[in-house]
Amino acid sequence: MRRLPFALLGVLFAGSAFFFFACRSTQQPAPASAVSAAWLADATADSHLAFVHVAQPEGTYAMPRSMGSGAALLDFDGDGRLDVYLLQHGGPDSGVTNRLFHQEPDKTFRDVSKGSGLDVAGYGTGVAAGDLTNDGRVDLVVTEYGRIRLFVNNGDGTFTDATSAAGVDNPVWGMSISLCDFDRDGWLDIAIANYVDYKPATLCDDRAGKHDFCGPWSFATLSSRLFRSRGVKSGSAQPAAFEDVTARSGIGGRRGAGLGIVCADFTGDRWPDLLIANDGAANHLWVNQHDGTFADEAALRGIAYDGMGRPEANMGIAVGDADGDGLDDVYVTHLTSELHRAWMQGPQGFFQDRTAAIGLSRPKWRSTGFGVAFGDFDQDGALDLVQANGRVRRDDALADGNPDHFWNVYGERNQLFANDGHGRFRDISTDNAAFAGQPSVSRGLAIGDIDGDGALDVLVSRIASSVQLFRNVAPRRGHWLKIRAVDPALGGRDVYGAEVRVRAGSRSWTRTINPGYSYLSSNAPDAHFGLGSVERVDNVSVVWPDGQEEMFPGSGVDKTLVLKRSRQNR
Amino acid sequence: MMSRYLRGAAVIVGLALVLYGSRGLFYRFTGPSIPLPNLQGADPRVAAIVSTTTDAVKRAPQSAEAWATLGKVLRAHEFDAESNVAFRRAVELDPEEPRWTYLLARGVRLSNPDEAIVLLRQSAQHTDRVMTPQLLLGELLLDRGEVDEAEKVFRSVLARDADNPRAYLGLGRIAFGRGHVDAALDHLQRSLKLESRATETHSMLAQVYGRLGRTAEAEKERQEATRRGEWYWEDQYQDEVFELWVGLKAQLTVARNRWTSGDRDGAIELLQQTVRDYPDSSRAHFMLGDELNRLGRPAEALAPLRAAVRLDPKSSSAHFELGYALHRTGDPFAAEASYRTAIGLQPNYAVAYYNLSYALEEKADRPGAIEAIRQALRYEPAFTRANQRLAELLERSGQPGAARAARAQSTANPLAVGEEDAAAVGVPQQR
Repeated sequence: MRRLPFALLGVLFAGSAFFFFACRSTQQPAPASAVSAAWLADATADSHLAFVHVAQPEGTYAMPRSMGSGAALLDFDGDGRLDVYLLQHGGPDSGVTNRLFHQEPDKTFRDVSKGSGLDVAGYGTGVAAGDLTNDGRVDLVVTEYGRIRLFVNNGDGTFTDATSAAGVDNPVWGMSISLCDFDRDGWLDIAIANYVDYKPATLCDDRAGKHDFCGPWSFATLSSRLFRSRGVKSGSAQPAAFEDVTARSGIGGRRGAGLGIVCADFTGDRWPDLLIANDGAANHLWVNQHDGTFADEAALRGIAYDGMGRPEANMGIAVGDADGDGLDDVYVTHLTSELHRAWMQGPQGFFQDRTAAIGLSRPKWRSTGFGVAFGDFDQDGALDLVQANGRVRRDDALADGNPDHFWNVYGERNQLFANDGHGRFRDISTDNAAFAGQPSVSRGLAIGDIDGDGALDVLVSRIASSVQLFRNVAPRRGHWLKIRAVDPALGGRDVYGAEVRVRAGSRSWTRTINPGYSYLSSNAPDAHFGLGSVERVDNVSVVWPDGQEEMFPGSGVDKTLVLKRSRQNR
Repeated sequence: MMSRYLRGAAVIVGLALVLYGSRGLFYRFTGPSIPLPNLQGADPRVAAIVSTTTDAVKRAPQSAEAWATLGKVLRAHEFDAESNVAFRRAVELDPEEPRWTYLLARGVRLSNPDEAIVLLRQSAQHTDRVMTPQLLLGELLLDRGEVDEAEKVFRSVLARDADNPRAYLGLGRIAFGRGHVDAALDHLQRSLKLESRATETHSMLAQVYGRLGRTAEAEKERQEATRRGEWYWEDQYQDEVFELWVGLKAQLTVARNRWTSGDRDGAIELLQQTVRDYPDSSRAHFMLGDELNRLGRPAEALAPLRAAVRLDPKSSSAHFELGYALHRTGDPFAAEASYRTAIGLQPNYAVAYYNLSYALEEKADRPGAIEAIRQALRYEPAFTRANQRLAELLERSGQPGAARAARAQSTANPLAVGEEDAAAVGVPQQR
């Protein structure tokens, strides 16, 4: 008993000493944050989506390894459920092939790659899904380091490589792809962001002379590429030869290290334009001149540089009406040493960097962002923001001492930002441990209602790691509508570029059918609307790509609508 | 009995309090551990300078200058976390020295911008002469959306230095962000008059003119921004960091900077020194040969380019430049071999195909020349000179129709001047 007080005193002393030494650390504690319910849960294992990305040659600093491979959400067999196509980067002789996963009725995925025609090997980078032949079936375009592939959907679970027959040739380092009907002739065209003229023998170092991946400034940059569709061969479901209009359209006239690309109407004239995110240089906004040519107006429309007038390392692109004013805004991901930027549109056709004003200049951590998307995850009627992160330059502070863990020093946590309903964002990453808790080298990101419950889910591709599927588990989600806009005269295909507006009382929401954004990836081809407490919408209108507007009657909510263009409307 | 325990407890608690109270004093004398960067794989010269400056700190642990020098060396070589530890200690030892607070602020501005703002204010307090801390403070505040506070900072700079172009640029950015386009134009024009080389001012002006609907002026400013490329404002504190950057990469970068600033002789001199310092560096030999080619001295370029090819046989660029040097010194046969090696290593090498077409034509192989130029256009469809050259070759081959089509392609939407030059470096007869 007598020992107890001395033990107590000993503890006091030890505690004081510990406090004395421990407090010598100059590191500041991480600020505590209020914990609220997560929005995204990792459902990769439950969904049986078994895919591990291979980035070869291993252990080297070959630059294409560091840029990642994309992912596509598509319904290739028309059963109403989203399937998944994932790219590999093992090289043409590796035997490591891209994989196609079919979603089964029980919401798990089955690998149906074998015999599909899509199980090809290469240095895969970007992928885009869309019906290029107007037969109502989704085709695929894939970029690789050094080549492009075009796969036509045969409608029986197989695809035919129609690259040569279609005359599509991009023998350089292609990245993201966007499909759109730029000349409004009813056929989807192909726009590709090309990166740099990479020279494989080039070695790059950091300032201490340690090997690291090269940046784009080490190489000449490339011009983007545009292929115009000439429809299908007469009496055939195969595409007629595409026309390479890169030079004639004008977009070959400027080079840049293109990573992200979005084809959409950014000026309000109902003609698709091309926004290209250039790494380390001014963005290009190729404005459609209505005659098959484009003019780069990025600088004068305010979207070439950030608000400081600086070009940044522009990578992935998200497009959406973040502030609910009916105009699409643009968010582009950048390096850790920069800020990701939000260019808000207004007046129409002009953009301004409003990153700080909308609360995105003070994230909980800085990051190198790639795949990115606006989506209303809590369905309150305002678009939130989801972002896949991973460094391109090594940070030795992240090393764990194991030389086999090559990619550890490039790992970063993803991020998720909630829109407060007034166009201001709050970083809720720390509340989403499954999505944003563990560092990895994430690159591609695609969103869509993968499990068919009406809420947006997220698919993330990672370098040399497993793909991740995150299911939306946000509590107290609002009501929703999912809308497909199709044109029977175009084989019943989804009409990319159609602008869908939903009205309920004094409120309205505008979304565009456009799966081609983010980074190297292809998103679900429908328009998703979070509606909050709205239980019925008054009407839905669609502005078709040729500018014709069509009204559709009101509807209940929590359902998928398929809006078909009427014959009278054309 | 109880009082004995109480006395004992009081003594120990007192001791603990004394220890706690003296921790600052103790730390003052001991300081932090000297940061040890991971030098595995680093250039030996980098390891040497880190070792030297670390030893200096060990010898004089109370010297702010020694810690700051270590901080600068670490920062110069991208050991950023370690450099922050060193700068922090320098600030503790000499809080009135504006350089250390400024450099620490630069180091923490991404991870802890709030601290960076405090440090920049502290740095600014201790210097009347150098405006850089205040200017960076204003820009940091502006980027974080603290616009009114940023404006105060820029105006306070102008109160002391009425001709500060960077402060006017800051005011221009603020005015543009507020939608005051005319005021933005006024500030930016004043900034440009004071410093016409600043790329950021040109690109801001492009946006302002665009918003005003003055598209020709907007395009002119965009072109000017593109032409000028990267720009850094004068920063004498940061210069102290770069002066301590050593190693192969440092020498190559300085040589490149000399070249782009017009000091061609200085660039060549430094590259010649670099190949002596790093005789096994393919990159050093390549850069020397490349710059000599650009200077129109292909005969001198041959030796370093041959060395580059020997040291790195897989370098398509080295083979290409060697081909160019051989070509210009009158040996199209050897040039062809080098161009073909470059193409073998990098099949999409458009400019190599372009040059190959000249070598083949000199060998009287016109069909081969046409095929080569078609390959160049396959990889670079908007390669204007290649289209023009194809038209010339087709005309000379008696194919006027095909020649007209190629010429039309070259003039339809020619690659902007400057942009093509950047990509088509190495084109014979054009350099």
